[in-house]
Amino acid sequence: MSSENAKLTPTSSAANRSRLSLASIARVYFGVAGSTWGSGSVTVVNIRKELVERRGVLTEAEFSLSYAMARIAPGTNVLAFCAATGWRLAGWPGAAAAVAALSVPAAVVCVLLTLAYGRWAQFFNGAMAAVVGVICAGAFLLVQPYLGRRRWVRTLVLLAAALAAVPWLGPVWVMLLAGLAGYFWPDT
Amino acid sequence: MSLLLLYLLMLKSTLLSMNGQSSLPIVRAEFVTKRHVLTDRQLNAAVTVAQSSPGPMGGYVVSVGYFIAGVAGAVVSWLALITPAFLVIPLMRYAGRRADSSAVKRSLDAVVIAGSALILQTAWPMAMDSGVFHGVLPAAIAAAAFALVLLTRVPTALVIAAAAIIGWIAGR
Repeated sequence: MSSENAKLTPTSSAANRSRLSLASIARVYFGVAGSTWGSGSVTVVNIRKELVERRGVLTEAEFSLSYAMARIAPGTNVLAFCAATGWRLAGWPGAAAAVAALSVPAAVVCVLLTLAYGRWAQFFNGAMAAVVGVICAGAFLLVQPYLGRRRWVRTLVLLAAALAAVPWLGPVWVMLLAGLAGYFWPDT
Repeated sequence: MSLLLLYLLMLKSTLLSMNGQSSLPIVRAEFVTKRHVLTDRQLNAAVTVAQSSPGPMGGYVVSVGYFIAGVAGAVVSWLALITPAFLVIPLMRYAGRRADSSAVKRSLDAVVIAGSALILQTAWPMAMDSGVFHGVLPAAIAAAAFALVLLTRVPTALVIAAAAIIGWIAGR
């Protein structure tokens, strides 16, 4: 990542870009909100198409920086990505508009489906079994890029699983200790 | 449970996760195991609901919040879900250069890997609750969903919808 990227501010991107109004930002993110089904990567691709390719209001460098920082930030990556790109377009209000436009419709649908769970619970029996499979597949997909790259990574997976089994340690400490171990682990 | 405590506990779980599902172990530890305000079945239903909805996977916390404290609980859980997203802005401004540090990258990799191990560990009681280990049909559905997500590009929501219909037909 270049130092130029790191110094970017909300008003310093491509000179030929016209800033989007908050309403336009909300419309863009609301428009792509429906594409995030189980993975934020589709949303990221659609936002890139809309803001970088179609409207030209975000440069490639800004997009890359936003994506990289969203991966580092805690919490849900796709929401951090929306906050980062929204901030690039219109500062803090832009970030708030982008995050709200993406997350509010999903939250409303979530509540409605949770209400439906109480009334049509029989539909959830099969779905719940499927979710177990989906969760396991998701966990595997998360760790898959690291398999075969470095041997110590596999050791760490086993270590984390073992640590999680220790009731008094809990998941938070497992994560923190894993981060610490990764930080000090020597490069291979 | 007060809404403030719900928000703070949800915030803890979302702040300490690096993606949507990795907050699951903390949510389960806090609300199912420690405070008993949520059951494994409700947690499983919340994840099912989030997987069946458009939006980020971490959105299951909204459903969890609804189970615990109704609409108000859903709202504060949504707030807890979106709050960490804004931490990316100071990161964008000040920490862009340090992201290239190999030690930071290794640390993040390790957190993601540990998170995936914890997700697997969380899936165990959910599998018990949904009958995956007690019936042929739930086990077959779980295995098919695992394979479809891993090996194909079939949308997750479609997999879950199909499983819901199969489960409903089998239960009649």
